[in-house]
Amino acid sequence: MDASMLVVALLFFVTLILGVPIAFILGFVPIVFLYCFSSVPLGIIGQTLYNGLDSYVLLALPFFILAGNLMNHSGITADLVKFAQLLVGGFRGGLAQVNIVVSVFFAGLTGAAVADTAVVGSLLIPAMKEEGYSAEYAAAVTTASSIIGPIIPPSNIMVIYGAITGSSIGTLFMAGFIPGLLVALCLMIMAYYYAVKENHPRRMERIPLTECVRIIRNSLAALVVPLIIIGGILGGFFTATEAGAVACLYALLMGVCFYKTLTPRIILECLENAAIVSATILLIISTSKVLSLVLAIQHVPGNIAQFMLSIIDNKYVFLIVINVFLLFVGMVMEIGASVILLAPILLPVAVQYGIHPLHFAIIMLVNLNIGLTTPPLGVCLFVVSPIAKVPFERIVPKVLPFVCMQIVALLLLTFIPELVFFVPRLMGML
Amino acid sequence: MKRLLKLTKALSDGVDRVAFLLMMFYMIAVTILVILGVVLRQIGLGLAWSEEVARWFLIGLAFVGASVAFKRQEHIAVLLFTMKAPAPLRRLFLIAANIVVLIFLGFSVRYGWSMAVTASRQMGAVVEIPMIYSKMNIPLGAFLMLIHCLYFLVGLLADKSHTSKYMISSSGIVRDQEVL
Repeated sequence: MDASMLVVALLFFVTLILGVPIAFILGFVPIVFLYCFSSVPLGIIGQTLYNGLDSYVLLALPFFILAGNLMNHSGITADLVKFAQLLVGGFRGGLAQVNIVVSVFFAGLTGAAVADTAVVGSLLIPAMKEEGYSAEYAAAVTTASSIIGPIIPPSNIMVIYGAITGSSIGTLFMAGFIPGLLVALCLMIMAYYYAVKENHPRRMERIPLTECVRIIRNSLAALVVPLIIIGGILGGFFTATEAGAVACLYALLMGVCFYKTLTPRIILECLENAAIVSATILLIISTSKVLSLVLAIQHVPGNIAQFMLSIIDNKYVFLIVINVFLLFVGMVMEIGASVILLAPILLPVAVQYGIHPLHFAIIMLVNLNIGLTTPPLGVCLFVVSPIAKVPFERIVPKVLPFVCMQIVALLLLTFIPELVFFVPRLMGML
Repeated sequence: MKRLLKLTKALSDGVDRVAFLLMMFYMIAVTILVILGVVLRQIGLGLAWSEEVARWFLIGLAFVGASVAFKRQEHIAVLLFTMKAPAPLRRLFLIAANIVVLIFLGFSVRYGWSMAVTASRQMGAVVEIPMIYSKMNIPLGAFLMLIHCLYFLVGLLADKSHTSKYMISSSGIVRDQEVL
């Protein structure tokens, strides 16, 4: 480490504190470095910005965001809630269990946690309050279960990770199935504990058979989405990028013809939102390439790897250290930016320790997702607070036990890699 | 100063309207193109050029879209410290942040432009169209953001009572991450 890198690090933190958007920090800092400390011509900036985005894989991002938007607006979630009622509503604390199970189903439609919080929350929190759950508890369950969304495929954050590190998005998607279900299971255990302790109600009335058939039929339309995506990629019908486009087409057809909820105006709004949101992430990816260039010139990733290897020689100690570090990062930084910034640096280090890249990817993504539900910057908490009509600070103590369960799931994934490998291996991808 | 604010606002609003339409064009075109690509390939009529054109549109979507996001104050930032700071200090933070962004955008316009111009005779791998049309999106997007950024800076200096209107990233901590 020489003085120039110290300046770079300092500049990074100062601009971060000033509130400069991440995309611009990642571009500004390396430009200062190139200008002051390096003989590399500045002309390289233009081409680097371009190269960062010149990727067919990255196109999957706007598509999966759009597909998620369209699904959200199609009104399919109401049917999924009924389906979950059918499955787990009869347990003690039925609606809390339903909340978690719906998140599992919903995860197959969108790759975003916040969408899950907003859509599932607005449907279930009022219902939960009516049945006598406290608003704080209802909000906590909704928030905690929404991280299942980006773990079970499709997942926007996996698309970003795959595009950044060159990992196969199809394999990442498959590896996410069991971890997503594991998180759900852990949360359901916690919800059951509370249900018994606080004597929560359950669904008492029976659902007639004809109604069951109707619910299952309607829900199937949604439940097949992840299968179409994975099946299409596996069967070689389309690439991950095209899978995103196909998901859009499917959502569009379903929303327009089957549910009849998508009007041209809503579709345009979905397109607009998808374009803007993906543009903000794409800009970060583009400018992060300028920073990577400078880091590579200074051999920073290599030096970090060497440093880590010199102080930690045990793979498991490394995994614990990295998990603690990522939990901290997830708490204070936006997840997309964290992945774009850290994945290219940390992945080679992990591989040096003999950790499988796929295993590391899932650990990193599940870990950073937990940050969506923790203070001080857990976005899902901010989103759920107005829906449940309770202030942020009052939800936090209720959500912490669930965060602990998320961490239990994370530790299981960290130390039992087979949970990650099972599905991809079954499909012959490993 | 008030006059300058009015002028920059008009300019920023004006270019944003065009940028918005361009962004929507890219978004809709790229979606239709890729869907068409898959469908046509399944029936044996694969389009050789669809992938390359789609990648070009993605560049446009990213940079022109980034300018629209800029105008709507939706870029992702860590606002923990800015929000906690007392009002006068916050304004100072915002001005400093604005200048940092301006410097970056200035360099991006300058070197994005030279990169794009060099590509004026470079053809696509499949499509016989000069790459300048794809690459020009980068200096274009950066220039649009530069205009918005100038407007925000003038706003911060001239209109002290409404600082939140001129933040590059406002309340974004919640809204921006909507899809992640």
